[in-house]
Amino acid sequence: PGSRGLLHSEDEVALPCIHKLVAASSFSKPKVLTATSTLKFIPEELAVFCRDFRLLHFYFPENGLAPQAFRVANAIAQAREAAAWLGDAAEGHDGWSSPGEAPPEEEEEEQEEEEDEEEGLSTMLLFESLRDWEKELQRLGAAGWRVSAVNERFDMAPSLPQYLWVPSGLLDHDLKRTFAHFQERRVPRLSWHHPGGGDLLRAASFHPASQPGSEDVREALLRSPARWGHQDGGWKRMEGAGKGDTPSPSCPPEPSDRDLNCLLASLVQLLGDPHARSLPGFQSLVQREWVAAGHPFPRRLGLLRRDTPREEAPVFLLFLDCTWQLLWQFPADFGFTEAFLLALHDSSFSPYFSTFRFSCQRQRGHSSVSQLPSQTYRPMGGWQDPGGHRRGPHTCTFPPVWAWGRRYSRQQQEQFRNPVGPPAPAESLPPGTPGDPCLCGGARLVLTLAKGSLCPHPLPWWSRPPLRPPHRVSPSESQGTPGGLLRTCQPPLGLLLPCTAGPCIRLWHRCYLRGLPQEQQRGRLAPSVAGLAEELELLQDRLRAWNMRRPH
Amino acid sequence: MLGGGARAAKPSFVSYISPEEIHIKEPIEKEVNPRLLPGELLLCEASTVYKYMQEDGSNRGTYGKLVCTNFKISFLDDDSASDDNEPQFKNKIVGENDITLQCVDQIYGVYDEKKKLLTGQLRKYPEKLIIYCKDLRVFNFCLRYTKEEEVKRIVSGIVHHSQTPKLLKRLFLFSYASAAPNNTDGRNQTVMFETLEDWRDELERTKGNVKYKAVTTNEGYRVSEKLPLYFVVPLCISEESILKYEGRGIPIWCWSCHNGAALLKMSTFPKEQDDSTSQMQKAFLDGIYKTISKPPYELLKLDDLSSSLPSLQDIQTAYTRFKQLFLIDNCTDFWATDVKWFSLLESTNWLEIIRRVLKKAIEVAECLEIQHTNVLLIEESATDLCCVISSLVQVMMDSYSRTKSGFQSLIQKEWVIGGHSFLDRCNHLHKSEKEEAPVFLLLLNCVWQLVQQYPPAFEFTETYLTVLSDSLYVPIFSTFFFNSQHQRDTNKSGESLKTQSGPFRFLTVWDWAVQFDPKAQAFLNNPLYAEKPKPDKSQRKTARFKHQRQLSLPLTQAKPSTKRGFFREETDHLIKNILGKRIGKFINSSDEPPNSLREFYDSWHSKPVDYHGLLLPRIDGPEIKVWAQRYLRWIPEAQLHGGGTIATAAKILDLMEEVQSLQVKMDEEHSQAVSGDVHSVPMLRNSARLSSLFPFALLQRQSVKPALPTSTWKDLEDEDDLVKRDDEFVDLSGDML
Repeated sequence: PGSRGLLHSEDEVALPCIHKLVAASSFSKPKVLTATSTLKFIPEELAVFCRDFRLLHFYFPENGLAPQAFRVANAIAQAREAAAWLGDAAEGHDGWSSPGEAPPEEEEEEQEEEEDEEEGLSTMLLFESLRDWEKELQRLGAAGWRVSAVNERFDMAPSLPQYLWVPSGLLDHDLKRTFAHFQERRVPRLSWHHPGGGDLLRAASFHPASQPGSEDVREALLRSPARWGHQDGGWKRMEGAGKGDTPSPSCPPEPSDRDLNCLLASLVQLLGDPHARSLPGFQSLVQREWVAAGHPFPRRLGLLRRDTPREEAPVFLLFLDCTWQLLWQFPADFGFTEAFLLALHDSSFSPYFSTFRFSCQRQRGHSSVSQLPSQTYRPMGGWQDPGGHRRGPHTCTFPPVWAWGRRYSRQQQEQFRNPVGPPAPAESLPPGTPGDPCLCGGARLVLTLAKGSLCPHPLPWWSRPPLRPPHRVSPSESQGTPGGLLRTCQPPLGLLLPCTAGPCIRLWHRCYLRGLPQEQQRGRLAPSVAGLAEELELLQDRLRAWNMRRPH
Repeated sequence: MLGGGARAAKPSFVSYISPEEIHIKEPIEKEVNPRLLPGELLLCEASTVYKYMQEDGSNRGTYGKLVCTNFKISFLDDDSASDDNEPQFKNKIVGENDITLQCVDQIYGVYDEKKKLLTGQLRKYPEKLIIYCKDLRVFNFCLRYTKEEEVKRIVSGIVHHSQTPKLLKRLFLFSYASAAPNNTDGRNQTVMFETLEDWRDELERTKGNVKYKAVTTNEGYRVSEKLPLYFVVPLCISEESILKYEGRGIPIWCWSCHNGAALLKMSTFPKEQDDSTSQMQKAFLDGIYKTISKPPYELLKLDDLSSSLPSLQDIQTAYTRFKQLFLIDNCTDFWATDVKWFSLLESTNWLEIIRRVLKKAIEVAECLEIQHTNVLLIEESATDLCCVISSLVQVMMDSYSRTKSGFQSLIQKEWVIGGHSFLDRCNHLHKSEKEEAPVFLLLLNCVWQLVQQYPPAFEFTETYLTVLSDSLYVPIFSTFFFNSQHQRDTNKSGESLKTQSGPFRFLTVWDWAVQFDPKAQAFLNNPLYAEKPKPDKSQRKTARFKHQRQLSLPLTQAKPSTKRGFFREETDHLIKNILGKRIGKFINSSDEPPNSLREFYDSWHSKPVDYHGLLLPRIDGPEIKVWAQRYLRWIPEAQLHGGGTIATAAKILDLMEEVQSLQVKMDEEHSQAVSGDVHSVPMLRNSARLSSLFPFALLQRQSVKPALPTSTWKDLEDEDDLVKRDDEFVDLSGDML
């Protein structure tokens, strides 16, 4: 009765999820199996190390099954290699193939056709349509910004989403000229708007060939909303961000704007925006800052073939771990649970979801359209159905990972919700609370995150002399002074200030230690208060019922 | 360097206000007098002492008076009258700025920016005084504005009274006991084990009375001054053999398991030069072993703790290193060491010691539970590690020991009456550092591991354990200030007859009302304790449980449904695949317990937990944690505003309160008369954001990260980059952080 999704039990593992395959027998050393180096002895034991930290361990008894054991082991090794797809932007087809030769334990199941509408999907934003972008911009209350459809056909910047948040004073015509100045043509654009007035921007660094001083760029940035009021920023080692009261938008450029910018932009929002801590809000956040923003998932997660250049780096998993640290530190402030993070973690190795299969929105879009006329690269067509036979005319699309019903039962999905966490007054961030009057409009300080710390005067084209940041007020005046939030005892509501000191950083043991038997016996979940909440409901119902029956 | 932050070389924080400036608002000369306890005498005092808020490394602080009495060192804030934000959790005896003399760990003086340890005679007087406390507080006092004479008196007074050897009779305990009105109410539910009756009750409770008896042989301390007045031995042990070697070589009963197997302890003979004596001793021992291995007794298993556990020396060394991690002068130090936190923690070896002790306790539990053998713990005096292991085993195996009164009775039985040398181990009298070892703290640390792994199984909270550990240094209770029952008894009556009308009447620490008012006491009780559904018949005096409210927690009823469910079925399957197969080949197996133990451990952990049955701690590396509440509570850098487990706990309490009120309502509707005896669950409500170190951390404590990047930050940027930005933007980065 458990999960009815793609993988039927914990004994099954999707081929791309296999990290290492080790065979052993009593006569020789354990051997790591790959497609090229195959087995030369009869294995007695086979251990499958999974990327999601599970360990499947098989033992072949000596009762004449030896040849089968040998074949099975080799078959898995080969199938795994075949399952890794080719370079994401590479020529032709992706190498996804159906794992027909997999041993019974590993057999992939046919995807069930499920038409149940996902409740999660209905409340979250996928940021694939103009409406989503507009809706979110409205929620943030970012006056002075608009949605630009300039990249609607991905011709401005292939790796950026179709819609961008840009200053409303900036015409598309002018905007177009700025693209070329940034690496991968990823221009500065709004990522999040703090209710206090500060803006969080993200952009790639300058293209080597660009002339930063050029009028185009300067123009673009000077047209930014006049109200660059309060700022948000201040990065701490791993995940900290405090909001000082200094005005200035901050704008983290990293060379490509596709990795650490995703990480930092989403962490800041987790800390500052209670909505991002609700379940749909978090999903929307990942969708916007990672998926739509073009984080190259296949490359970073190492889902590509071995011979492709290795560009593996667990940036997204690092984000999940950071989120877990926050969740652990502030259990009452999140609308989702550790189980949800684990499910997301594990799903990132599953080949069934569009979310992690593609490097940018453009690719994702192409994959659903069977063919596309002419492009510098070819779409991800040609892939086969997992089951081989399926809905005919309708082009197949992979579901997004947020379609949790594909993999988890309703009961399991219940566990994703944190009964303790109040998704806060989710929708309504007071739009633009009037900032400090003397700072509004006057100083427009832009801070850039470089090499781990924020510094002003980041943009070489910024023509005016660098503004000196407001001077530190003497500590005795305390509360609310730029001494930082850390010293005021009660940070503003809705803002989380994580502790980054050594004693407060923990090992996510339910994730990483899953291979240990003890850990598995304990169950994957921390006990929750769900039971208590349930009982409360029951009692209330009973009381109500009883009152009804009572003659008045 | 930890705890030795002598290098104030480069001020990392610019204060725009000097202490002098603050002083300008001259305090209105109001007499602030220390609150003295009965029997407490003011010894010396100094005024205009400046107390730094040590955390932020700035010069902020307050002026006040520093006094030293025969009980405590106390700082009296000049503005203390305006103390309107009283903390919810307050100790009535030891205030926020009080340090009992026994709580002082080390005193340093600062001379020209150099730190020096102060002991005994002083020739020069320091301008700054740093006091490190055993409960891990750190006080910084500046004496620069104090009159020289007063400095001399206060410094030498403090050093003399807290750091030099003392006579037992000079302990504050005695002055307090003779001066304080005795109003101990007899309603304490803790079994004190001072009477034969108590021991017999305990035998009956554990059904050990079939094979064991309580003996009166030691009345008048005829046998030994180290042994308690009454104790329990196997039925077949004769009085002569007990008397023969002053009780050495005699197995003394600790506890009986439900299946009849018993936990025993025995002190060994001192090393004999004489061959014939040792021959005789050996023969004597063999005889004893033989008689108690025969039926009806179970098989006997010996466990010499001195060889199977770390020595007291090791424990002391590890703890000394460990506590240095938390005795932090200022926040600059904190961030400097923070980079290496995990490796420093590892190198102290303290967590490893906790792990080994827990593992030993599991081993013993396995022998008792599975193999049905008696276990005889052997140690030279049988009053140190024996106490740790036997208490732990009982906490794990006997759910009564997990109630508050049960735990207190256990401490009374194994430690206080059992003869643990608290006086020597805590070095209360500063007699000899060699004897010092945090054995009792080790037990509390181990129990804490269990408490945090299985909170619903315990009637008390981690706060209870923390205040219990603090009480080790409060010399108004006799509990932790004697080496043995004999020492206590002789000093109780003894010479005091001359001056007193009667013997001293000491307080016991278990009378929590002495230290905490009822509101604060509520913090010691675990509201989520999963009580036994029906009172056990064998339980003595059911009255003991009367005060406990029967909460209907899902934990008590619904068993597998809550635990199973998500992923559960699948994992079960997986376990079958993994377990028992030769997994060791693949998984690092360096410190696996032996096989039968491993099996016992694994099979227990594969079943759902019964909070009233056997409880085994998880002892894999990452499971052993730092007792954050005790060790980090004074470090504001490590606290989370509005976070931590307390955030969930507060929510749960709200829910529970709602459940309770609903239940009451329903009860009222059903049966007309129901006592409205529902007192609401403690505070926690209405408090917007609690700190993770609740109830200890004070909200007014503030912390700032150093404005100049410390090493972590340096790692991230080039050195010269930093230099360039140094002048211009330092203030900014401070602002941003």
